[in-house]
Amino acid sequence: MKKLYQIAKLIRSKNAGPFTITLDVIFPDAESYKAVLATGALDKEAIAQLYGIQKDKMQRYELPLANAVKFSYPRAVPSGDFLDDDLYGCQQHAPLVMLNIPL
Amino acid sequence: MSEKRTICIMAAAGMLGSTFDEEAFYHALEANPAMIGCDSGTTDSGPYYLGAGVARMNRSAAKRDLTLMITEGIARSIPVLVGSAGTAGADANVDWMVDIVREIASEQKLRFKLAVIKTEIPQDMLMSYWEDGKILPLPGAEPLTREEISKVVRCVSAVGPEPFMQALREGAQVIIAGRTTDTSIFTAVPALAGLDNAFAWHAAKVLECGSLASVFEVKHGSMLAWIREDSASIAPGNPQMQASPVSVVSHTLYENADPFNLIEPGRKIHTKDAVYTAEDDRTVRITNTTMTRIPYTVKLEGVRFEGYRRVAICGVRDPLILKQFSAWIDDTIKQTKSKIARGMGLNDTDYRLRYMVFGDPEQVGDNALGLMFDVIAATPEQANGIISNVWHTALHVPIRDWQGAQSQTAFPFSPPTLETQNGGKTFSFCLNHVLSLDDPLETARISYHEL
Repeated sequence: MKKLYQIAKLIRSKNAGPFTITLDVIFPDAESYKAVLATGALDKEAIAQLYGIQKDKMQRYELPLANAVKFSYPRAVPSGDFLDDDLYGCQQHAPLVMLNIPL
Repeated sequence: MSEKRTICIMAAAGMLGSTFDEEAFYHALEANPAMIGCDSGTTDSGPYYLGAGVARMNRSAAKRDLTLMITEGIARSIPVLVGSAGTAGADANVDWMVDIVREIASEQKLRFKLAVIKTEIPQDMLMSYWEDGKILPLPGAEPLTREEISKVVRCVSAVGPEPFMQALREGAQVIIAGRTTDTSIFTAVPALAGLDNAFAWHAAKVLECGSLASVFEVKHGSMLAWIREDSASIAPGNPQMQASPVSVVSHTLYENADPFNLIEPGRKIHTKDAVYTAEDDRTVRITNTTMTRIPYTVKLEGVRFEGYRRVAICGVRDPLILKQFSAWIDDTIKQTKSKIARGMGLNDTDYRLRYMVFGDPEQVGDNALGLMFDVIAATPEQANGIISNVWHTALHVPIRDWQGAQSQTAFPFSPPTLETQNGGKTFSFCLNHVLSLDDPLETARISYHEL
């Protein structure tokens, strides 16, 4: 068992406009990218559950050319609203960092 | 056989006022680009900049970057295009930047034709668009009500390349525009040359972030692209930096919800099947991107006024409070609310109060637990009264482990309260909608000035 941060070369989050958060997981090579994807740990269902988002509201994209997988989901609170606690949405990747990957 | 056209476009940097690398800028100019552009806006820093109509960037840094772009642009007869002026691209932000441009023209003794493009939509015009059913919700948003429209204090439309093209046709040498899509700054000149194609838009999407799509960004600065009928090529201005197929494709992820479908005014660019190849050790060629024409819409950005913000920050170190922190903070908030009701006649629905805790009360050890109180109220006086009530109540809410008068919160300065910029005026984004246009120039007001 490994943690995702031990395999990925970059895990990050950012606003994609004021109403959406986007998560990027980028791997160092095609081998690690394919191996992690094959475990199912980064399936749409798994990430939707991890973030408490309805599955149909979680978008997922694979970019094999960049060895990257991307998730986008609606913000619970728009950027800069009174109850927002992360203006840039740049610390929302935290739950992914320690995610267990069965490898 | 028709001549194969190539248009070279240049981004001075990803953000005006980032004080880009001068060496890379001059090196990029050697490619003799057909335009020098720079984006100046973002919604990333939140609704304040649009609400207040102020720029996030420092004036002297913006002036430094504009001076380089304008002096070289005029000397080399290359048009200079700036979009989303002054962070939010509202009229006030544009005026702020035009003032800098006038100062530069006067100090550098430059004469040129300036075009100013304003894209703010006044309240009455917004209401009339709403009445005509032209404001459409984006996925996840709801249709707007009349009341919601009436609460919009400032709204801008992110226009496409057409207003830039119009200004260029009129002979503008420097263009300062309000809110535009980031890519439109860079696609206007290729479009005028007949290259309003998928490759121009795809390259513009990479270029608008300056050299960020490089393999390793030694210094942030200029980026170049060459647009053709069947491809585009991209390379950093800094000769020590490289773009690679992986660095360019990775960039399509950045700050983007959907990396494969880029929606622009009147156009949708599909990058899923795009092919990225290394042209040489620092240049990437993009082919196979496609573009579809779609109904012409512009994205709206709008804000509502929320009130006046006051903040207090303190530290808590007493281990006996920390072990019952949650009960203590609940007690503090409860007592505060009742004091505000008694002393100020306000219910807790008349204002907004929250607290944020930085650290884990169980694990701070010898350190302080960070505690922040955050208030938004309808008037500055109410906000001042509420925040004073909060921090002063927190200071003295007792715990039963001690007997006698107690003081619980360590404040790092006096007064213990802060107001955010501009008297704490606070705004929120309230539009996640597009506006359907009959004419791409409809929301753009263009004026020309001989400097």
